[in-house]
Parts: sequence; C-alpha cells; structure tokens
Amino acid sequence: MVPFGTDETIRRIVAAYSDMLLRLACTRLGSTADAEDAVQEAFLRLLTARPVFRDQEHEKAWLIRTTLQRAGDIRRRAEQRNIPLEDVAEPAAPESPGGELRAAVRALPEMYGAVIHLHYYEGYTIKEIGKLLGLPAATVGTRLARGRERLRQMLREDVV
Amino acid sequence: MNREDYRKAFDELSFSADFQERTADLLQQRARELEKERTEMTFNKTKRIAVLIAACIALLAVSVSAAYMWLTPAQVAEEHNQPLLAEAFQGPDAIAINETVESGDFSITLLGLVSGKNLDVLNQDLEKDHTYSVLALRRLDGTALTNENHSLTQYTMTPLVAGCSPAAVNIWTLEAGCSGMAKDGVYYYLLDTRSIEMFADRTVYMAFYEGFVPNNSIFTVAEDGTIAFAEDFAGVQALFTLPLDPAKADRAAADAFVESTGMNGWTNERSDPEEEWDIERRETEDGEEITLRPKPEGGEALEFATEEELAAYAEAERANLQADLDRGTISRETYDKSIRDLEEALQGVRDGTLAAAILEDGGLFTTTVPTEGVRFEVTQDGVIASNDG
Repeated sequence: MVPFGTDETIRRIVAAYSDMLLRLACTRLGSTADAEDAVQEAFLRLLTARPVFRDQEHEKAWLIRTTLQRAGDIRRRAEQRNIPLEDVAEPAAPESPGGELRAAVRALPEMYGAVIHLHYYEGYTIKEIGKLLGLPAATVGTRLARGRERLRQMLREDVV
Repeated sequence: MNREDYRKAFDELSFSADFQERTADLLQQRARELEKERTEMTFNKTKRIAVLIAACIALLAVSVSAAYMWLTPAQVAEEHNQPLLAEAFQGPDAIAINETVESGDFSITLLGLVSGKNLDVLNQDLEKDHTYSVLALRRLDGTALTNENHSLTQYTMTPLVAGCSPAAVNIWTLEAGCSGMAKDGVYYYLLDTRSIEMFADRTVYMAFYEGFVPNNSIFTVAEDGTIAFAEDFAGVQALFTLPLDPAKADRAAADAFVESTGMNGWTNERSDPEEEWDIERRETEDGEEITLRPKPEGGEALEFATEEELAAYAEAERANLQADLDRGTISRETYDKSIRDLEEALQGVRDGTLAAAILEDGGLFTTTVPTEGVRFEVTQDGVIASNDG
C-alpha cells in the first residue's frame, strides 16, 4: 500500500474514516469535541508510527483500535480530574430517545461499547468485528449479547 | 432497541463542519515537519554509522567471532526522530539485553529497553510512564529484510507477565504503539507501551511471535503462572525474560491494571466451538443455512412454564396481591396493573403468542415465543440474557 504521509493518502484516509471513527469515539466520549480530538490523535499516530498495512481492512482495524485507545485515554484523564464527562458532553440531559441511548452506550463497560456500535451502527458481523478488534468471534458474540442485555436493562430502568 | 433506532441516535450527532479539512491540513503540515526532521537526521546518522563500521573492522582483526552488528536502541530511536528517547537509551535507566533466539528463518535479538516519562517528543502523554523496547530481526539465509518485503504486523512483539493472563497484559491492553523500519537488511521494531516496571516483582517476558492477539493456540500458562509457547505452536517465536529492577514494582498499580482489563481469565484448554455457540441448521433451497448464536454465559437455561403451571402461579399471586392490598402495602393502582399483567401473560400463553417463566425470586418473566434455537438464561448478576441476534 502507499505509505501514509503523502497529501493524497492523507486526504483519502481522512475522508474515508472520519465519520466512522468520530461516531465510534462517541461510544466512549460524550463530547463531540473530545471525539474529534481522539480521532485526530489516532490519525497523527498513524503518521508517526508508520505502520505497514496488509490491506485496507488491516488499515481500518488499526485506526479503530487506536481511536478506541485514544478515546479511552481522554475519558480516563477526565475522570482522574473529576470532570463530569456527561455534563461537558451533552449539557442538556439526554431527553431525546437518541440522547438516552447514547448515554446508555457510554455507560457500558469499555469492552461492550465498541462491539455494540460496530454491530448496530456499522453493520459488521460477529466474525468481522473479531477481525477488526483482534478478538475471537466467540468473545465478540458474548460481549454483544451481554452488552445488548445491559442496554436493555438500562433503557428499561430509565423509562420507568 | 433495534438497528434503526441505534443508527438514528448516532446520526443525530453533529461534528465540526470543517473537521476533515482541518484534520487533513494538520496531518499534511505534520508530515512535512517529520520529513524535514528525517532528512536532517539521516545526514547525522550516516556519519555515526561510519564510525561504528570502523570500530567493527578493528574488532575483527583480533577476533573472528565478532557478533553481528546491529544498530543500538539509541540509534533506532534516532531513526524514528526521537532524540529524547535516544538519549534515554544511553542513560543510566536503560537496560541492555542483546539476547538472540533463532527461530524458523529468523534470528531475533532483543536489544534493550528503557522506561520513563515524556521521552516521546511526538506523542507526549504527561501522565503515564512508558516502556520502549527495541528488537532486531534478520533472516538467517542472509536475505535482506526491507520495508517492502517485511510486514510489521505479521508478527507480534508484546510484554507478558507471569501470573497474569496473556489476554490481560499484552500490547493491546498496554496501549502500545509499534513502529518498524528496515536498515541494512535488518528490520527493527520499536515498541512503546505503558510502563511495564509495575510488574517488576514478577517474571516479565518480551515475546515475539508470528501471529496476532495472544491466545491459547499460541501460549500456555502453567499452574505457577509461568508462560511458554504452546508445544504445537509452529510459528516464528522467541520469549525473552526481562531483567527489570524489582524495586520499581508497584503491586497495587499492577493489580489495578489487570483488574481494569477485565480479561484475567485463561484456560489452556481449547474449547470446541460447539460449546460456545448454539448452532441451528436449516435446509434451504440452496442447501443448508447454519445459524450460530453465542450462548449466554454464567447461568442455567430459563425454563418456560406450561399453561397449567402459570395458571397455578397466577392464582397464588392474585391471593398475595389481594393480601398486600388489604394490608395497604400496595396501592389499588399497583394491584390493578399487576392483575392486568398476570391476565395478559395467561392469555398470551394460552393463545401461543407469549412464553412466561417463573423466576426464583417469585417474579414473572414474559417474552414473545422464542424461535427455535433461541434460549434465555439468568446470568450470575441476575440479568436475563438471550442468545438471539
């Protein structure tokens, strides 16, 4: 593959992956500004680490994992400083069904959120998610089932 | 929740309109800066290597068993435009290892490592210590490795810790970044992870192997926590033990880290996929459709009540509700709603549209009649989980 770093490849990769990665980062971060920071950091990491990818799927998997790591870092930093992420994020408490669902996804343990999002938003199969996250398919399946059940519980409780 | 609701919720998010433009500009600017730094560094490096070659020739004059010459970890850091890291590799905290394992077609040499804070000028993380490790790979048949003929990610270089699951402590959980570069036929890995010094009171390894995420096809963990490659793992492999200073261990931080991964389980037994999946086979016009559904873990399969069992339950429950109402512990509204729910469940089971299970705590769980192969379980944390897609 063409090495990342030329103007052409930078434009291609930013255009191809930004939307997906920004929404993925929002499974960990309530603030879209924080999500933008996480995705920019992931792209910058691609520039400095200069990994060699087998194909575009490999490239995508690397970006997904790096974005999740960066989003996790930002979230942990905020938590360590006791910044209430949710307050910063969606200032008016999530009154819309969409806001409520996003808040529930963010409240999921880290290991479930990405799997849920890649399945429900991006439409990936369990096997495909396993390849993207470097996890056995059975683990992805278990996380998907458990994450989904926790979401159901949270949303039900909130409604009541 | 369904996929449409989920997509709608995340489509509602709006990001900066100029995000892509701004990000592409930032990356292009950074790429140009890096290229400039790389060019300047290449000039300096050429002179430095010339000196090393001269020294090597002098050594050969007195010994015919001179070792293969590698770049030093500091030089590898310089190649990556990391002057602070290069300096650290020459400082008192650096650990030189220089151990070689031959495996498959390769000679694998772990050159050294250093831990510290703020050593990476490109990716400063002010809050965390990092460990940087350098490994050299060369082909035993003398064929030169290049950036074009060697894939960085075909192999994994990762720390592992005895007593901790390889699934819990590895480059993925340690938030690693790995860079590679070929130089004079040798391929160098520069691995950046969160600091592994917190584990220093245990045996800490650096593993290099052909493959991806650590699993029990690649590693085995002995009862005493010792980690080794699985006997039948045939890929390129090397396992080095790191001479870390036990005084730098932080058992509490290490335990907290392992706990935070939520992945400290491990078994050397390779499971039969059929044990982890409910498999449904269905004849179709084209052949056979096979559906795999993950089995929920941790609980007994939920058994649904028969119509008669449910009728008996409803009768007893009506009496309980009436007693609660008489005692004033529930309101009339709650009583009416509970009775309505009971009647709906009974009617649904009678007409075949609902399934109901009586739970251990006396509650009632109802759902639409599950299709074949779908089952429900009460998990260890009391949640009812199903394996449907």
